[in-house]
Amino acid sequence: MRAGQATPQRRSGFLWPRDSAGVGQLYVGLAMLMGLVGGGLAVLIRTQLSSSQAGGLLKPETYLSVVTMHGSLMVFGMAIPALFAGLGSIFLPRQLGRERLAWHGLHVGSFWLTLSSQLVLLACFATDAGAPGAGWSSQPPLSALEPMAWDGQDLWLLGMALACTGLLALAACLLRTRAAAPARGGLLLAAYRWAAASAWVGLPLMLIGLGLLASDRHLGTSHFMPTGMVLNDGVLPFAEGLPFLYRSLFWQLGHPSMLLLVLPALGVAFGVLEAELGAPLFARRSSQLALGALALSTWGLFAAQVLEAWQLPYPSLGNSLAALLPLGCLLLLTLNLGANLGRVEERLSLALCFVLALVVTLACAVLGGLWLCAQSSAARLEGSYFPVGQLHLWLGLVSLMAIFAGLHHGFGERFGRRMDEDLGRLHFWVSFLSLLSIFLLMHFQGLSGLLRRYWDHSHLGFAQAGQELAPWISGLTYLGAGAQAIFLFNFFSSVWLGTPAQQPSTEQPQPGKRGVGG
Amino acid sequence: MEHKTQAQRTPPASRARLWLGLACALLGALIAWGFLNSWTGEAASVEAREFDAGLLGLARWSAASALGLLVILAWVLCRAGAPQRALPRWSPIALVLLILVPGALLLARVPSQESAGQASFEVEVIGQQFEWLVRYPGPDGRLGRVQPSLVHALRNPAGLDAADPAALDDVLLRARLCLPLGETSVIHLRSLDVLHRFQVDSLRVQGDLLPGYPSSLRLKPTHPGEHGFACAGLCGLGHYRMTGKLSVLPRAELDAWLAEQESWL
Repeated sequence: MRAGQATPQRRSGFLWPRDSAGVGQLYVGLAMLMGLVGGGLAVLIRTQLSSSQAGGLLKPETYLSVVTMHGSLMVFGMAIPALFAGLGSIFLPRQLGRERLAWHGLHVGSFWLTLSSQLVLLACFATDAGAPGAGWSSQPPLSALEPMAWDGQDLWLLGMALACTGLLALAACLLRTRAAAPARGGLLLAAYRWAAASAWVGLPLMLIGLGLLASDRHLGTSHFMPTGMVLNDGVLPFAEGLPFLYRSLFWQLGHPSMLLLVLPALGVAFGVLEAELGAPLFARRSSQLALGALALSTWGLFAAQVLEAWQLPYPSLGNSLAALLPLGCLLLLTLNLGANLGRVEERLSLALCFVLALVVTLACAVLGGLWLCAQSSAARLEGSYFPVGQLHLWLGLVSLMAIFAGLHHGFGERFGRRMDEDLGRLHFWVSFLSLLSIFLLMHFQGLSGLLRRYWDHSHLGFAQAGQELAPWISGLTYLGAGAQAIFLFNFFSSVWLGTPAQQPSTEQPQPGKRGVGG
Repeated sequence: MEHKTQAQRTPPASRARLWLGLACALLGALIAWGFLNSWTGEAASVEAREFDAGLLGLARWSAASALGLLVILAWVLCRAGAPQRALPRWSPIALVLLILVPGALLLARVPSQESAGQASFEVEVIGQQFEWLVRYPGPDGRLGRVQPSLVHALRNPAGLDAADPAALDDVLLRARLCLPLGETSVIHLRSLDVLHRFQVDSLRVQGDLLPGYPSSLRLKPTHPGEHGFACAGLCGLGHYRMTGKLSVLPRAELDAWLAEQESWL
C-alpha cells in the first residue's frame, strides 16, 4: 500500500480503526489501564517502604517483583504507549495532512503487539514463582540463574521482545509517512521523527540482548555468565561471559527509551504552544537544531558507554564530557519552551500549565543529571535513591506532563466537548506538586546514602536522614495517585457529559487557536 | 503614564500570572534549599573528604542554577503584558552556556588518588547471597589461594585451598571488617555467585563484586569507630539484609584483636 493512500475499507470498527487517530485512541486507552496497574504497584511499594518496621505489607521476594514490574509496565505499558504511540498517532497524521500513517495495517498491528506484550507482562504475576524480581534491567547473572529462575523471567523476556517489536513497527510507520503537501516541518514532526529513528538505533540491539539472555537461561550458553560462579556448593558450568555486555546492551534500551519519551514530550510541548500561541515560535530554528543534536549526541553518549564498558582505549573523562552535549541541548530546549510560554498573553490554558510543569521538571532533571555524569559523585550515588529520582523525573514526570498537555489540548477536537476547568486545575496542581516533590525528595534520600531496591532499611544502620523522608514520600504518593482519579473522572465524565466545545465559554476567549498541525 | 493605567486595570489573566510566577520563584528557592541542605553523614576517610568537596561544588551549582532558572522563568511569565516583549534571540543560548560551563568544570574534576601510596593492610571482602565474608591474611600477612570448586557453605565458605601454606592461617569472619586507623588499606573484592556491590557510606568507597573478575579498592580511614556497610547492587530476595559492620581501630588494637582470632582451616 502506498503511504497514506486511501483504500476501500474492508475491515473497520473499534478493534480495527479506520484512521490513525483511532489507533492513537486505543493506545491511550491501554496506557490508562496500565497506568492504573503500574500506579497501584507504586502505591504498594511506598506502603511497604513506610511500614516495614511494623512487619510490612509485602514479602521480600514479592517486593522485588513489584518493583521490577512497576518499572516495566510504567515505561512500556503507560508512558511510551500514551506519549510516543498514542499522541503521535493522533497528532502526526494531521500535521502531515493525512488521515493515516503509512502502512496502516502495520500501524494497527503495532498496537496489537503492544497490547499482547502487556498481557504477557501481566501474566508474569500468574506464574508459580511469581513475577521476576531482578529489577527492571534484569541484569544477569541474577536474572539467568536457574535456582532463582522465577518462571516469570521468561515471560518478561517475551513481553519485552513483543513491546520492542511493536515499537519498531510503529517507528517504521512514522518514518515512512510523507507529508501530503510540501508542509512546513513543525517541531512536533521533527521530534517524533528523531524519536522513531532512535527506536531503530537502539531497540534492535536490545532485542539481541534479550535473545542472548534467553539463550543463557535455557541453551547453556554463557554470553553474560562469568566463570567460577558457585551455587549450592557447586561450580556452575559457564565459560567466560561478560555480564557488563548486557548492561551496555540494556543501555541501548535505556537511552533510546529515554529518547522515545523525552523527544516526543518536547515535540508535544512545542506543538501545543505553537497551536495555542497562533504565531511563529520564538527561537524555532535553534529548537529544531537542538532536537536533532539531542538525538545524535545521545547516540554518541551510549557509544561512549559501550566503549567504556568494554574497557577499550578511551579517555577517562570522555564519558562525563560526552554527557554535556545532550544536557546542553535539553537545557536549551527547556529555555526555549519557557521563553515561548512568556509570550502567551491570556491566562495559561490547562494544556499550557502542563507545558510549564514540563519546563520546571526538565530544568530539575538536567541539574540532577549532571551529578550522575560527574566522576566525583556518580559511583557513590549509583546504588542509591538518587538515580531512582532521576529516572522518575525523566521517564515519569516529563512524559506524564506532556501526556496531560496533549490530552487536554486534543480533547475538544476529538470528542467535541471540553473537560471541566476547575477539576482540571485541581488535578494539575495536586499531581504536579506532589509528583515533583516525591522525585526531588528521592534525590535527597540518595544524597544521604539510602540504598535502592531495599525491602526494609532498618538493617542498614546509616542514611538516617533519608529514612526519615520515606513516610513523607509515601504520603505524597497517595496524594499524587489520588489526583489521577480526579483526572480519570474528569476525562470520562466529560467525554459524555462535558460542555460542547463548539460554544467557547465567555471567561476564556481563545482567539487564533487551532489544533496541533491544523 | 501608560504603564500606570495598565497596572491599575490588572486584568485577571495577569494576576493569575503573578501568582504563577511567585509559585515558580518559591519552588526555585525550595529546591535550592534542598540541594544546599547537608544530607550526607560524617566523612570518615580521606576519600570521603575528597568526595564531599566535589559534592559541595555540585550542590552549590545546582542550587544556584535551580534558583536562577526558576526566577528567570517567573520573570518571563510575569512580563507577558509588558510592552517590550521580545527577548534577544541569543538569550537562551547564553543562559545555557552560563549554566553548563561551570557544570563542565565540575565534571572535569577527577577525585585525586591521595591514598594511592603503599598499602600497609590487606583484606578480602567476599560477597555471596546474602552475606558478607571477610578474610584476613593471618600472621604471615599474605592471603592464601582460593578455588571456587572448594567452596562449601559450612566447611569452607571462602573456598580456601589447603594446598597453599599461605591459606592455612587465613582468618574468616562473617560481616565483620576491621581496618587500621590512618593507614592505607587495600580491600580485595570477590563474589561467589551474582553481582554484588560493596559500599561503605561514611567512607564514601564502593566497588562492584563480579564472579570471575576480582577487583580491589583502596582507602584510608581517618575516624575511629563503627561504620555500616551494605550491598548496593540487587542480588536477590535477601539483598536487604546483606549488611555488615566496619570497625576502624588504631593499629596496635587491630593487631591484638586479629591475634585473638582463630584461622579457618
